[in-house]
Amino acid sequence: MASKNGYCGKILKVDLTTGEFETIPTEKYEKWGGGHGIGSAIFFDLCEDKTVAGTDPKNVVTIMTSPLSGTLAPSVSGRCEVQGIGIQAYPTGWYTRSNFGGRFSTQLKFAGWDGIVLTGKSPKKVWLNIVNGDVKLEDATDLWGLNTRETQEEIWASVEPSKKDNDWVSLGVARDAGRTTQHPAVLTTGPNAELFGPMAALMHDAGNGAGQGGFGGVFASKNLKAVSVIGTGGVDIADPNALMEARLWSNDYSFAGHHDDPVEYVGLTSFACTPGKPLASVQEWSEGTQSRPQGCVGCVRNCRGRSDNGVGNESQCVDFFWYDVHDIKANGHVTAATPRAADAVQLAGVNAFAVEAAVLWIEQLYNAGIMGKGKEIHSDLPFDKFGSAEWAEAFIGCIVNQTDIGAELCKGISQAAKAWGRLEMDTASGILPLQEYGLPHHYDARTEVEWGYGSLIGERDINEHDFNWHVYWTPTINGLEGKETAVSAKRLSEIFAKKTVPYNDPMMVDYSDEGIYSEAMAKTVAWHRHYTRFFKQSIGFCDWAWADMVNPYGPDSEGMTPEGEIRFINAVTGKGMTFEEGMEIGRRIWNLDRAIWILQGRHRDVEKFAEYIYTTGAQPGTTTYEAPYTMPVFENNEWSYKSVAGRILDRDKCEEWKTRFFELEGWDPASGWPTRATLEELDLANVAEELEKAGKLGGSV
Amino acid sequence: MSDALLSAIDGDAAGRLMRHLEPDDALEAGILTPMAGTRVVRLFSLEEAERFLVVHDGSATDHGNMRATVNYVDPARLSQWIAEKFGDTELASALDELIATRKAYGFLVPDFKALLAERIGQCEELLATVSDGQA
Repeated sequence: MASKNGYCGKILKVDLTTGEFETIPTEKYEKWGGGHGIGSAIFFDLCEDKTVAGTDPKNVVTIMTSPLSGTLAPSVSGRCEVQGIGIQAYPTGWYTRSNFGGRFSTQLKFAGWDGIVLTGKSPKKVWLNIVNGDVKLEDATDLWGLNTRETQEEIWASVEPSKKDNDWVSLGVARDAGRTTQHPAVLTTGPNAELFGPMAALMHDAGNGAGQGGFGGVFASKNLKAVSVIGTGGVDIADPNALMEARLWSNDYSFAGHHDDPVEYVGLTSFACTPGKPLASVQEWSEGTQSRPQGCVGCVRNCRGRSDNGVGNESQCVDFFWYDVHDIKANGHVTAATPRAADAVQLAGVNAFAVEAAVLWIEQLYNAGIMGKGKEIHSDLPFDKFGSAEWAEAFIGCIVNQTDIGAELCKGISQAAKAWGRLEMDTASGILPLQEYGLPHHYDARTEVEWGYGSLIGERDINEHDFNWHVYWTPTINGLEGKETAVSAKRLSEIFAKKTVPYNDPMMVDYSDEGIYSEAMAKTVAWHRHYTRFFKQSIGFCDWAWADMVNPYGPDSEGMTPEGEIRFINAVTGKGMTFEEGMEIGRRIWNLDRAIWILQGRHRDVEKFAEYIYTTGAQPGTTTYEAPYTMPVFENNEWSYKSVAGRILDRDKCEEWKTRFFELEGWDPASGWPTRATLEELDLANVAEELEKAGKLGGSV
Repeated sequence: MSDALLSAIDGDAAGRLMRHLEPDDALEAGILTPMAGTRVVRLFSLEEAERFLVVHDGSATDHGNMRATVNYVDPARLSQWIAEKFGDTELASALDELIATRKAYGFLVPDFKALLAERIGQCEELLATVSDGQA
């Protein structure tokens, strides 16, 4: 099965229990696009009992590429999707997903595989070794206690014993077996990750992490340490000329196309962002450190950096932000503590978002005299050095080694709070910022509601910034300094209306006190869930470059969405797809995922935020790394950017909004369960059958 | 904001408004860095609060320099603090009027600062007079 139109044609299925390998023809699942769509469809077919825990051998984990992986499509080629039943959310570990960048998806495609499906549990500790079409399970006993860097180096040496530096290396003994300059792409857990599973991430290279869901712990529960892949093939493109034309066209929307005369734009952008640092100039290295841009395969955004001292390499965003807040508080500015803290989570394979929330909480417990030496919650951590690298490393170490407060935190943050008798109290006051399902508060559901609703109706912190850059950060950053935002609120509503096919409603960015409960906000959330389910999670468009909504290099500040995504997809696949068709596949995937959560116990009655969201106004600037929210509102027949900081959500109005959302989606408003009509319309009759068998099919809308 | 002036105060009020508060009554403000949280700063007097408010000219955010710091005090907390700790309900109401516009923080700061400066000026003038009279 040779590569054709972006697809390799086969998916590797590994039965870890028996050690047997099978091939699944990709064609069977191609209608789902790739990535998450294919992964969810395979999970639905292969996971016989979707109610099991994530650590149960019956859990099915998929690692999926997309047809665009390994191509020149910009800021999409390097992403890879992981999914299965997670172990991070609490009390139910929802079927969930995570996504990482780097080289893995490209190497998997070059090796001739569209994805990997992991079933069962190995009787002994193993790692999966893929070299083109050769697949083996190798003994991982000696790797099990190693950190993520050590593991990768050991595997590199094992797969390519003759390789030196950047030299070519031959794979196999046959003359045409293929040569490469690459190290194998390795996706690995940290040391003994089964012991801190809910906090455990999967890591690849220095800074690419699938952090959410606890998939490091899920891997370890299957006695799987790592997956290594290297390939020497290529990816067939349906229309290479169209791909090159699209790539050159997109250059005009990027910093690279304007590097001699960059626009002066205050705010956060997607595709147009300056390379080299994750958020333009936001990421700070410690004084005197030089760095250069680094990115995933095929990316023009190149959001990470490599520094001259090698510390914090390839880290970005929350890898730094989990600790820079405390570094700055203690030292007045970013010091070497921040990149060292980033390395601490990367090497241990610990979820940076989880520790960010944990540390904000722990700081408050310590300041209140509740935690510390001889206190109610005893800890020998060096709190007198809070904000230093020593504290950060000791803290991560205690989770990984299950010592000190890590003896509880290794089980998850909610679990630790429960053990310490503080879960209810601290999520009511908000000092423990777990916004929904025990998952860390990222952006505030009280203010940026599309983020909160999307996470609540979904299964995890959405971590998708399509609206966030433009409706929150840009007006907020400008507003903090009394500066007018370059794109007015009215113009912003026009741009979003144009791009949010098929709804095209300018009120979708109305974050006023009325707007956040409106039908338009239901459309916003629906559009976002459908768009990301297909274009981001299934095709792999990177969250930090796409959707391209507002772009200072675009005509009248408009980015490439919806034209851009489709140009690249069609150039590679030759399918002649429309954007609307992509959105419809996204809706289909969203409904399939919804059905899985329902089988796990989801009902509208459990879709509630943590208590603080309804009772306590945000204390601006003190929750996470957020700043007090300024957002677009439509009030008195006029668009403007207004402060919405300190807002709380009205419980009843939230319930009314959920009803509007369920009706829009064609789900039963009484339960939030999809109806047979909706599922059949999406060609999901088999899903309707399974829900009906479980007594969980929605009634009429 | 309109040019509305604060009404005159007497010497007792001036003394009360210019005093330094005890630590328990201090106002918690902070130096805010977008995406890097807030370093807490405690303010003990009206004068400190006025000095803490910085009117930016926008240059700090040029070229996307979003790591610029902002001296941030929650507007509603500032107003409440002035009313409760100093008893200046008129000044607090004037601030509340501005807060009700829900303009972004940076657009409120020049008017906040002007109002506080006006009240401090009144106090200083009164206290100087009292002091001269006593001399």
